[in-house]
Amino acid sequence: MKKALAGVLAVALAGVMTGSAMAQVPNVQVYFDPAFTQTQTACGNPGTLQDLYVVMNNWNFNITGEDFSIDYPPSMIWAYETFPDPLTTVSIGTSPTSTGGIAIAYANCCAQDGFQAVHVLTPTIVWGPCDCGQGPIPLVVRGYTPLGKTGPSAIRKEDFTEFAGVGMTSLICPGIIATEQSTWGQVKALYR
Amino acid sequence: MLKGKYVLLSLAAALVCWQVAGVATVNSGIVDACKSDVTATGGTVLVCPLGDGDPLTAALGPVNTMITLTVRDNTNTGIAGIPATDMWLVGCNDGLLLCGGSQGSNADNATNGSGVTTFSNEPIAGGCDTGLYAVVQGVVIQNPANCTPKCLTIAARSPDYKSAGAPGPAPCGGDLKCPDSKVTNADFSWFVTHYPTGTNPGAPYLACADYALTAGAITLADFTKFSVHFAGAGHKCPI
Repeated sequence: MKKALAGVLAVALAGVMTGSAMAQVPNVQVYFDPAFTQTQTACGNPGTLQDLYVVMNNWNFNITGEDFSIDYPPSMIWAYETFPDPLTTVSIGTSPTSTGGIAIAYANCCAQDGFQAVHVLTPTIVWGPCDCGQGPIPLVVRGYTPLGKTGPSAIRKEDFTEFAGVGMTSLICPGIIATEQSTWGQVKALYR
Repeated sequence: MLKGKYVLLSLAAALVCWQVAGVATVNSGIVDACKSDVTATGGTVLVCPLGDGDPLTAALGPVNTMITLTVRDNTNTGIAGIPATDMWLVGCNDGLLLCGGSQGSNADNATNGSGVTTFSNEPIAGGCDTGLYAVVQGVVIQNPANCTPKCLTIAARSPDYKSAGAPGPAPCGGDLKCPDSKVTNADFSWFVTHYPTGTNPGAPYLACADYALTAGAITLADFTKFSVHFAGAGHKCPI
């Protein structure tokens, strides 16, 4: 039983370490809230608008531009998108992967501080038919396809070097995690 | 009396003949473009009408393309003390629009005792050119080997490539060059024609739009480098 417990702990630890390492990888993720905490959501009411928040995490350099695309599921219909600071931002293209994606760049004054989470784009979508009974629906960040990229990339301000990152997946209808009532005694009994 | 005048005239004529015969060995102090020389390592720089492009000492690569100019006279003697404002750079194909005229690309300093000076900064300019000439007192420095204009292989590319119209030059279509000393929507819309997009995935490559030299393709690095001079208030010649 102790060996089994040790095995379970090892697997759990490995999972934690993997999650921690992944969290340090430069990535682009879509959040469903302006505080950038929610990467999962339930279906919205068809016909209603919702803002999404595209955020760059862990790039750790001053960012003078980036490109990516977003694979919107059929339940989300891309409507338009805005920039946090449109006066100092220029772009080419739009975010849906079906259009090739978007390239964003900044004025000399206003490179982004990649040492913290950077909000780079606010796409607005219209909810279409959405059925959580079909299981989780992914909302995936991908690359700027006209340049043959499969994941997001960003440019370091100081030397205009390009770096690749990871496109993260957010979920609509993440699914229900099964639970059951129990007691500490019953949990401990599992390992005796 | 008359004889004395003849003697005097003869002596004067002899003096002139002696000076003319020895002209090749007398320092004239006048720039000889064929005996002067200019050297630099080849490279590529972004130039901007605002003057915040890539210094020649840090061209793309990075490569140090600082230009060394040696100004000599007809006796191959270096000419000292030529003011920095008397020496400047221009595009070999007349492709650069200098901000404020020749002052947009003056030498670092006056020539030293050996007639030598340098250019460390990129021309403050719009346009695009494949090379640079050094000009001293209005004369292009020649290649001493064959006395033809010496074009340094330093390409200069500016985000100011197009004109937005009056009060600048008339706008021009396609890839024709008509800089107006400011980076405007006219330049951005031109740049986008060379940037691969979903609707234009095969956008044609043009070296003049390649500011970051990423494998002969127009990439995100080029777009961001362009945007540094365009986004917000587009850069322009302050003069």
